[in-house]
Order: sequence, then structure tokens, then C-alpha cells
Amino acid sequence: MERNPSNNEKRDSQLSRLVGQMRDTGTAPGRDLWPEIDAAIDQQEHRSTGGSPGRKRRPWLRLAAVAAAMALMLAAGWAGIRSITGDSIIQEVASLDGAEESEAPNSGLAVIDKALDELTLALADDPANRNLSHLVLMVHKTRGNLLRRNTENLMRD
Amino acid sequence: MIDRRSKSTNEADAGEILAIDCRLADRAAEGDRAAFEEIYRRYVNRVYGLCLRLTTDVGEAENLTQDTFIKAWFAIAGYAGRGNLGGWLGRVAVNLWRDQFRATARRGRLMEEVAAEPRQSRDGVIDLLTSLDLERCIARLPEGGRLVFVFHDVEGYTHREIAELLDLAVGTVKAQLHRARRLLRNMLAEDREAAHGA
Repeated sequence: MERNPSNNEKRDSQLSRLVGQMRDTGTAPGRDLWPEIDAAIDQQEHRSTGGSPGRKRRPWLRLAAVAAAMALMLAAGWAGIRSITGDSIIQEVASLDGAEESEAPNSGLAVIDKALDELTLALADDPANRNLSHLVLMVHKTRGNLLRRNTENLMRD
Repeated sequence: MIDRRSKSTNEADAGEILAIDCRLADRAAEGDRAAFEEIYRRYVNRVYGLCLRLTTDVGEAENLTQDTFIKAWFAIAGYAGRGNLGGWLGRVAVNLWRDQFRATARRGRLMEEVAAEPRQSRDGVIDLLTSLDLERCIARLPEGGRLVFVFHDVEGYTHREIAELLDLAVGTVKAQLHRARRLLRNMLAEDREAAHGA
């Protein structure tokens, strides 16, 4: 027997339908904000390439990113982690990506995603950091390779 | 009844949108400013709408929207097609807003609002109302209820996430949400009655 929805349930479903419409439609700003955004990006890029002092740094975020990348490497079964600091971490991730013996389990993807989340936050906080940018791109590449390898393994099985 | 054809069409549309977003984000991550401008054009209304709901001030909402896209430009490599790009931009906006919100230390005001007596709830059907009516009603909510409603019901944050974001207890968040929904239903019913009475 079908249950008649209560008034509250009916109102809540109507409300959530409206909420969905509202979120997707959004609201147009009264003016075009792009020219100022474009100019601000130019200015920040110019500042970072010009070597002048950038925004304040948060070293703990950088450390969190390094920790996340280390967790990623451990999850992928990649042994031999030595002292990983600064630029060397990029090389480590790059070698992880190319390593033939690297057969990460599916659960490694969750760790990679978590690492990506942390790296993204770190990058948002320190956008001019080229090392972090490269690291994010490499971890994405590693994730893609891992997915492809997992798919190939599944097809073989 | 669920219209299966329209559901699968919607899923196909969502897949297509995601594919376009991924391509644009990849190009933007490589430094293509035109691709990023296209991302801006696609999502500025969604981001500005969220900013306006959070701040209820046009000037603040414009600034927050600009800051969001500036930050997104530098962090776009971190998106790479993982989920909805609009949702990702929303998270960037919320993180920026959170820093400002914490700086102004408005927590005390949010706590006080919980204790306030809610208005009498009334039955009312809201089926003829539009999202614009809802937008207007959300703006009229008390600050605590408005923020919790926007984060939970609009943006999909969990009670715990909201509690951390606003530095409140989870129970307080639930109470705020309950009250905000009740107030909204009330306002929407009043709006509808006013529209019909006119």
C-alpha cells in the first residue's frame, strides 16, 4: 500500500526542488567582474615572477602537502623513501609514476584523492609555488596511470 | 512517477557538462586565460549567488566572487575533473569567506540566535513559488539560520563540517537548521498568500 506523504514531507520536497533550481540558476552580478579578475591575476603573476614578496606563507600547509605525498607513495607500495624534502619530492612522485613494479591496490586511490585534496588546499594558499603545481599535476598523472593499470588488470582477470 | 527518459537525458547532460569542464580546466591549468574566462562565464552566477547568500551584501559578494576566481586560477590544477566544477568553485568561495567570517568573530551572535523564539509555524503549500522567492526569503533569515541552511541544504555540507566551519556545536547547527527551515516554510507560505491575495 502506498503511503501518503505528510504535509511536512511534501513541503520539504517542494523546498528542496526550489533549492536545487536556485543553486543551479544562481544570481547574475550587477556588472561584469571579469576585467578586474583578469587584471588581478596579471598583477599577481607579475609579482610572483618578479620575485617581490608574495602573500604570507603558511608552512604547515606545505608540510601537510609533503605528508600527503608521502602517504601516497606508501599506499602505492613504493619503497625506499629516504629524506624527502623540497624539490626532491617531485622527483620521487615522478619515479613512482614510472615505476613498473608499482602495483597500487584500489584502496590507494582513496589515499591519492586525499593527498590531492591537501595539495589543492596548499596550492590555493600558495598559488605561486611552482613545485606544488608540478606536484599536483604529477599526482594527477599518477592517479590516471593507476586507474588505467587497475582497469587493465580487471580486463585480464 | 519518475520519467526515466528525462533522467537518463539529465545524466547524459551532466556527463557532457563534466567533460566540457574538464577540458576547460585542463586548458586553464596550462595557462590558457581564455579557457578560464569561459569557466568564469559558465559559473559566475552560481558563485555570485552563493557569495550573496553568505554575505547578503552586493559589494562584499562581488569582492568574494572576484577573490574566488582569482584563487581558482592559481589552484585550477587541483581540480582536474574530480566532481562538479561549480561545486569545487563553491568550496573555494566558502574557504575564503570562512577566513573573513572568523576574522569578524560573529560566533556570539550566531549562538544568541538559537535561543530566540521561533515564529509560529504554519501549514502552507509552496508549489507556485520560484527560486527567486526562495532567494529573497533566505536573505531575510537570521544570520545563523541563513548560513546553516545555505551550507547544508544548498551546498550539501554535513552537520559536522558546518560545525567546524562556524565553530559551533553539532547540536547547535541542527537546531539552527531546523529553525531556519521552519522560518522559510513560514515566509514562503506568507509570500504565496500575499501573491494570491493581491
